[in-house]
Amino acid sequence: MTFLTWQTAAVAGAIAIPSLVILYFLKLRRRDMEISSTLLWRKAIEDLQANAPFQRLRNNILLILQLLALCAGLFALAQPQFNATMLSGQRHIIMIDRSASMRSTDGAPVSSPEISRLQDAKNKALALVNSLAEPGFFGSDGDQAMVIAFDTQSDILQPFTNNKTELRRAIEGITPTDARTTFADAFKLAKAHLPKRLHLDDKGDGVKRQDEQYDGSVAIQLYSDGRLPDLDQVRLQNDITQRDELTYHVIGDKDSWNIGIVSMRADRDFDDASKATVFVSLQSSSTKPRAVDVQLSVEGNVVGVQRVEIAAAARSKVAIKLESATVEEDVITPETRGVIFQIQRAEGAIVTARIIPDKPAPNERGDVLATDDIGYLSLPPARRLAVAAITDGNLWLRLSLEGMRLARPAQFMSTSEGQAFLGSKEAEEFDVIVLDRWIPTITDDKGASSPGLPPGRFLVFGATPPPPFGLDDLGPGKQGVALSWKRDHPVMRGVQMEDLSFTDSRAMAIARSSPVVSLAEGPSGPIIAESSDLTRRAIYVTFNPLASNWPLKTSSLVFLAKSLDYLGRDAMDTQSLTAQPGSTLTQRLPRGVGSVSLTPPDRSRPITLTQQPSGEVVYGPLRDVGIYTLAWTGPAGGLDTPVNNQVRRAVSVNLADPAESDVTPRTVLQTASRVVTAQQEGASGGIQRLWPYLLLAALAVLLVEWWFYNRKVAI
Amino acid sequence: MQRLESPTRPTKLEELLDPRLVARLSQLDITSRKILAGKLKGERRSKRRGESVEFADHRQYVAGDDLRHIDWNIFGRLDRLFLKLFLEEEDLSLHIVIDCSASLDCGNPSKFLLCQKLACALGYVSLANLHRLTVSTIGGLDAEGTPMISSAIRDLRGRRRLPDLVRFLTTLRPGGGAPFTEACKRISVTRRGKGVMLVVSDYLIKEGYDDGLRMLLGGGYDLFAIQVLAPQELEPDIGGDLRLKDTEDADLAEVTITAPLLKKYKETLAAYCARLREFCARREITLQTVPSSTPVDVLVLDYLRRRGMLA
Repeated sequence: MTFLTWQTAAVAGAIAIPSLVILYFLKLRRRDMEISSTLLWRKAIEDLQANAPFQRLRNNILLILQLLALCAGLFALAQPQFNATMLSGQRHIIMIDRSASMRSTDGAPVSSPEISRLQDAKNKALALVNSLAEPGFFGSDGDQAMVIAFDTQSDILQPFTNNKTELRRAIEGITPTDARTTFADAFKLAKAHLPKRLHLDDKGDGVKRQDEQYDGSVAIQLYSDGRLPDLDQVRLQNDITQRDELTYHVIGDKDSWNIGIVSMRADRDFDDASKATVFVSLQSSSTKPRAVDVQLSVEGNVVGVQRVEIAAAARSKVAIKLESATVEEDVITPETRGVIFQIQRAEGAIVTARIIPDKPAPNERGDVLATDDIGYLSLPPARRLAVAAITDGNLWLRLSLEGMRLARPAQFMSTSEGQAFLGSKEAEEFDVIVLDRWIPTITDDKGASSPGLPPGRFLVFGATPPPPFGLDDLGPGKQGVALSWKRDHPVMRGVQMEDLSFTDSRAMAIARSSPVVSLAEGPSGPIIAESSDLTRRAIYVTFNPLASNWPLKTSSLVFLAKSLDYLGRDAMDTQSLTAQPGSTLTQRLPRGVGSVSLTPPDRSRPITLTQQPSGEVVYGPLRDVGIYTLAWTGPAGGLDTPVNNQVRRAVSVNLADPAESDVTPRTVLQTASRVVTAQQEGASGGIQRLWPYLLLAALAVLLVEWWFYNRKVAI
Repeated sequence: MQRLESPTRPTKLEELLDPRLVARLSQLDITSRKILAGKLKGERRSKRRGESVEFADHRQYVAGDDLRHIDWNIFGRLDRLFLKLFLEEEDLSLHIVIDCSASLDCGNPSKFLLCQKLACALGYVSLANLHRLTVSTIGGLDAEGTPMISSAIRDLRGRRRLPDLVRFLTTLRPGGGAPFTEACKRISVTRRGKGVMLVVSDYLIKEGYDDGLRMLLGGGYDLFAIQVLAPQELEPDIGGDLRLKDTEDADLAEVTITAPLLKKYKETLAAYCARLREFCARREITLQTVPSSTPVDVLVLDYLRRRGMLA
């Protein structure tokens, strides 16, 4: 226990206690009473010596009570506090995690009424605010604090102040979001508000010296469940002169579990587009095997329910070395399970998957996080692809494209026609354009022409545009085989590359800060790569297929079909119609649309958006999960559904974050520079101020004294 | 214990004696452990043999005896002269001494009121039985409010003097100190004959009661002592920090009432009363301690009859 203003209390005590005793001598006002004889009383009090100066005070319960009350008051004046290693004038940064996982309903013990983690965090933060030192009577400033709430975004809700009312209002105003957690940005924000080191020219000689009185230390009070995926980007200062004190208040019950939807996707059948397959991926953080029902609804109508059993999540102990000791942390590796639904629907629809967990046993917590128990998906209408190919002659390509089920037969043209075609409005009618060993020329804003790709989706064989959208051509490459490839990429899934060999290739390199991603590697660099930006998407095959054995392999047909499907679906891809909370909604609408409005999931007042010159509308950040519906008047794209005079496009926003769905709180935070353990339970209240209780005790003693006095003087 | 602002002051007989009590008192008489000689022939037997009709004894005739008292029947049988002796009926002196000091004017009900009622009741019995009644006071105030040492009304006899008794009692004004010894000295000097003396006081006398009572004993009186204490003196119900002022001598005692002090006070009171009782017992003084809340009829008809003062 420490005293913040003991000097004040000592001075006051030195004055008040003797004064009270002296005043008590003076103020001992006796009530006059005339009695028959003092004979017996004198004899009685002779033994008790009631008139001796200090014995007069002996057994004087009223004085004792008054001294007790005074001592309690003086004690309160000294501002005693428990667990206070910090001095008055301390600065606190209260950082409260408001991400989706903080919606978990395990903020209180099982036996208590359910509250969310966020509410528990707010309560603990409010307790800390209540315990902050008030400004003293003799000029001490008291503690200051600022409040930051963070998810993917970080907001300063209250800058540094010692006004507790403002701090409480800021904390109480924090509402939960469905967004993910990004702690590094929040930490940077907090650090930006720390007082800067001062260099003063205090002697007037033009030499700036470090201010010796400078105290740059600050106590960061973090209220979170520890699900902070970017902790490795956080660097706590460890200097002797400036050390960031991070106090981690862990929120949540380590025995809580959650089963959530971590991803959801729908694919239309390539041959029969009216058929769609919905993939729902579940994650369980329960250390017991659990069984849940997964219900799939299309436009609100239940079309299927599947019982899914998920194995127990693995629990292991990980030793973490601290500065002075080693601690063990329970680490739970969540278990995942997928569910597949087949639906028959040619029209666009909102598909909803919902987890229905079994009722928990009495005195057992159920699934604590409801946010990820539901997943939304916007399924665009079924449509076949339209493909154009620009080639100066490629039999393999022609035969392959002619054999595919497309919206209409693939249109072929020569490279000389291709340049004009790409600049025409006709090109916009095709979902994918295949370029065979040719790159068109585009003109930039300054009027300079260079090889490049215009807006659209392209499958390019035997050529690449220059960086940044393309690859860096380093000259002729080695002949060889595919060395490695991304088997889980939608384009490469099921494509057998083992027996591929090529002779005509280019040595390629991916330029820095280029959007290009390698899908397959050969001896001279990427042989298959993907590149995309807001207006373009392309898949490059850097070797010449005609100078390889690929056309003879079925894998080339599979690759062609997958690539066209992948690029074509980009125009109607469900992935572009999904987003995560906390992110920004960006949708490219057909040119020339008017009055775009966005209706959020709670169907509150639609928000009017303005289409940018590039054709995009932007809104964000997306706070809640659910369906955001864009509506406009004008032309409809491949993803859109005309309804009456309007065109609508639904964008599904799902949590879909394994890190957020894993609700097991972390007790140890491993930052880039230091390991921080959670504050022990019971000490989480931070500094416990005693002075309010002492004042209450003083009041109680005064009440007892009043009662005693009345009882004593009653006749 | 404390003095009342406006104590009850009786002004007439009915306020001193209940008529029903008067009827019962008429059947009582004052008795004494001794048969005492009086100055006048009364309704009381005297140890002196005299001329009453009640035969007492015989004795031989000696020269000079009244010849009318010779028992001629015995002379006829024995031829010797014997005198018939009769018990002579004499009157009885009842002397009531009331402490009129200021301390008696305390308590609720007032101690002095009980004294007045007791004196009136015993006085009535005495007058009704043709005894000689004297009522004296110790201390008190005169009509001008000046403290007195003693005052008295003397030699009342017969029911017709009852108004005088009542007038005397109702005009008594308690106050001032208690010059107990001095007053007892005066009473013992001025009293006549022998008889029954009743001293009513609270006996809370700072100078002591020993000398005074001893003087009263000296006259050969059959002495009764009634100690009247207020209920508040027996069980104090006061509290807090008090400055107690003695109503007689204005002595101040600063006390803080606590449980130990109250306990000590009661122990002191008990010891004081025990000492008084022992003093009286050694000197054949009949002592009765009563609280002022005792009804006068209970005191007279019960306590005093049991103590042998009334029959």
